Amino acid sequence: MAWQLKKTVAVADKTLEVEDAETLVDWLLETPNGKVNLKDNEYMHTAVAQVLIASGVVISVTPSSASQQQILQKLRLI
Amino acid sequence: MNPLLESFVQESRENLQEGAQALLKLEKQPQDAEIINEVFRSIHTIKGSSGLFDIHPLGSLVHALEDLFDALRNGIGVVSSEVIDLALDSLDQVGSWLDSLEKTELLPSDAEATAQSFIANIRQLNSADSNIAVAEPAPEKTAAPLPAMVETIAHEDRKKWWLAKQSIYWLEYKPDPQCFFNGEDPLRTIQLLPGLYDWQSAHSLSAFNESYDPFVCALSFEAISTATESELREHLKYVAEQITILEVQPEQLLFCHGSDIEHDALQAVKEQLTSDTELSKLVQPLHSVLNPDSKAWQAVDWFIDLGDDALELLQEMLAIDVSTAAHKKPLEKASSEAPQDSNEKSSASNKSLEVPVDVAKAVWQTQIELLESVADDQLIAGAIASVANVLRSSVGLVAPSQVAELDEAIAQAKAKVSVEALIQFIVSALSNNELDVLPTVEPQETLATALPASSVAADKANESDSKGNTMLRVDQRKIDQLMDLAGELIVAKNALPFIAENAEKQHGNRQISKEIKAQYQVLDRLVSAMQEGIMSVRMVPVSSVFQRFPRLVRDIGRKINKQIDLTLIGESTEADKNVIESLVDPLVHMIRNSVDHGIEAADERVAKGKPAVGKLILSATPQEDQVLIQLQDDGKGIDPAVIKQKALDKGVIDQETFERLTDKEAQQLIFAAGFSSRDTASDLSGRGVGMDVVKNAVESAGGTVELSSTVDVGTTISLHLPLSVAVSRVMRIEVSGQQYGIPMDIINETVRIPVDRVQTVRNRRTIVLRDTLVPIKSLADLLAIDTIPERDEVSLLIVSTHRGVLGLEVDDFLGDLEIIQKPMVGFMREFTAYSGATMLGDGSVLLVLNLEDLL
Repeated sequence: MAWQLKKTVAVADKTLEVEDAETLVDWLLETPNGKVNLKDNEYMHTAVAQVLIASGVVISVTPSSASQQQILQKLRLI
Repeated sequence: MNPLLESFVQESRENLQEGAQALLKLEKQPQDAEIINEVFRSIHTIKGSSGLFDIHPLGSLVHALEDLFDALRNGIGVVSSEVIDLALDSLDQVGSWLDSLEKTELLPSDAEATAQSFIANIRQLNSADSNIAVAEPAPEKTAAPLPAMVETIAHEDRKKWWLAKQSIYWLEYKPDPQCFFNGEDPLRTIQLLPGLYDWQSAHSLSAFNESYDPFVCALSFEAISTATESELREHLKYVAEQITILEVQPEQLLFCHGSDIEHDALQAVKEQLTSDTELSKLVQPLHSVLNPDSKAWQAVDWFIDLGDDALELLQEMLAIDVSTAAHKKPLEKASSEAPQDSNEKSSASNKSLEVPVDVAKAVWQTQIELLESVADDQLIAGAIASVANVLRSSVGLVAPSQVAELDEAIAQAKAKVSVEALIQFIVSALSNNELDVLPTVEPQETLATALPASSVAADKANESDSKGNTMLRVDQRKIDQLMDLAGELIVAKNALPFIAENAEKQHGNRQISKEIKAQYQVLDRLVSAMQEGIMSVRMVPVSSVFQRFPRLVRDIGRKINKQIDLTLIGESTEADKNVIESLVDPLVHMIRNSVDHGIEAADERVAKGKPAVGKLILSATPQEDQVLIQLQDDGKGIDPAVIKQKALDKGVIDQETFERLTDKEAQQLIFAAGFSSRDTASDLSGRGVGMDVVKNAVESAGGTVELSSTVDVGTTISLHLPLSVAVSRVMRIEVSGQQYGIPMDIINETVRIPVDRVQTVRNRRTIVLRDTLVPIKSLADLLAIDTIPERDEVSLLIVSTHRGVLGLEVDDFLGDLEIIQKPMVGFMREFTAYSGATMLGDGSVLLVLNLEDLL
């Protein structure tokens, strides 16, 4: 599973595909104060990025990958 | 036919229709930006969908049109009649290709050549328009304004490309909302863009709640690339229709972007400037003292490297010479977009914070990870203490204003032995905008600024459309089939009263007869409801036919040099689809006749004291189970004397009829076959087929035509059409033992009168009915069957026909009936006295009479 869903944090895997957007949406709707940890994430489908933008979820840990970090900055997520 | 292609053809037809309508509106209001947008959107939608099929000529033609209207909506060029003509012709061409696609799923073999010829004309017009648009102040700066993103390119990069004489490309990528289902990942596509220099995104995401759909793409992108156009197009070939690429030429990069500054050195240089000052020497020192973020420094920098090429820019920046207005625009824009607070000082202070902020943020991120990783409750206290130390030292350094907040968070964390408060503090500190070197913009605001307002509005409209649109497209054949079945059900239902009668009369079972009749009532109600339901599905507004007429009137008017104002009234009136479709040809003929024969030329109108512009009113009015379509013109009217004479000359009427005809009857002669009032036939009308065709078409659709005209005032033609052609009501009558049906819509009433009330006036049998003389005709005589034996009373159907009101003598009335009338086939078709036939419940056939023909 691309998301490791904990009590208050969803920890992302290395890659997040289009279908992982739906998992995140469901989890965020159930966990309104949830945060996401993107430390290991190196690739994220547009659909997932959209969920992050639309939900305004707090990114508790930004990606270690510099390029991925840059993408999130460009998307004004961090 | 491929269902996808079928859907494309249907949708494109609707878009063509909308586009053509908008073009006609645009012709009247050429400045209206919303109408230009409307045209653009229709064309854009066709272009977008056409990419799914191998129909390159169609795609490239609409693409060229889209470019033309894109330029127009960006204020480049003017909407002229040439633009409208060419656009309408192009849409007609696309329409004819759609016909071809529908028939053969292919475009004609000459489509490519046709498309190229159209495209060449459009491009010529487009470039001509561009020249018009920019002809005013500065011919050399003719291009559209640069996208805002280009203006944010770093000065040194622009200079580097300028020196290398290298073009760069700005592109806009607006992914299709459903693109994820095609396996597309727009964010990835942008990341892998060849020569990617910079990119930015905007979004139109819906609110995040239960109805949020993660599979609708709502992001759009802008990017700048240093790759070649062909490399870009190759990379983006699968999303080509979602991409706009704009070449930014080296000379377009020569501008200054940044803050305006006041500096002593700058002032000193300005004061020393005279006409013969050697600029390069004078401005050189500015390069070392001004802030590189300022426009003035950039202007100096351009000048030092480029010399005279950047002279105008320098002059402008230093306010030496304001006469070079041509170069002002982009610079003004740049300055207006410069952040208000970015003066030299604040820029410098931000710079000094840049490194520690980055380092501090990285450290804080690690602290969050540390706090989140603590699973053992016993270790939490230690982790809190450790993180608190790190935070105290770094927050004090970078954000001293937040120290108090930090102390509070630490106290809370220690008291509750929970990491929550500390994590919250760090997250809030990380998002503290004041620490950022670059201003942070809220995503919502960015959307509004990054996308043109119209595009945002359009996206919103699309969004609401897609949500509110619960329409279902159904093949008309399926509905026709349902209608036929409902018709059969009506006929089957009609058998029940016969069975009930048989049960009672032949088998003597009154109880069963009663039950059948009761059941018949229930069935009758249900079948009627079902039939009405199906009919309502087939109802379409007359606007579907009316919409084409503004174009027709415009084209004919231009051809024969008449100015005509067409007004459409009651476009939302509904009628059965088949009835509406049967209207097309008659109305086309009627409108052509009105424009060609009816409305006079402008000078003739003015001489008569009428306005130069002729008036045509086309209206639709619902009337119980009919719809009344009227075409009214304020032309010269129909002169009965002229018509009578022409009819006599052409042998349409004989001398006796000539003398007998009243003025009103004479005017009806225009409906006679082979009659034309014009001496020479034009290519529009006047071949003597028009009004004849109108009458036949309307009558075969079960309608009637009326004409009223006054010389020099105008003519009104009224078409009374049934709301539906599927089910009709007839009166069953009996003559000499034979049953016939007569359409209810022409029957005024039924009367039985004593035979002695029938009088003979001028050898004609008549009765006086409510003080009106009504002539009587015997149906048996008309049908040439056995005459009715003498009786004490006469049964008369009072009917309204084109010959006026008359009484039709029959043997008996058998009641009314709903029928599905089937047309006569085979040799019976030649007997025009019958309009059709239907089967009765007892299996016998009922012939329906065509009284208009019989009389």
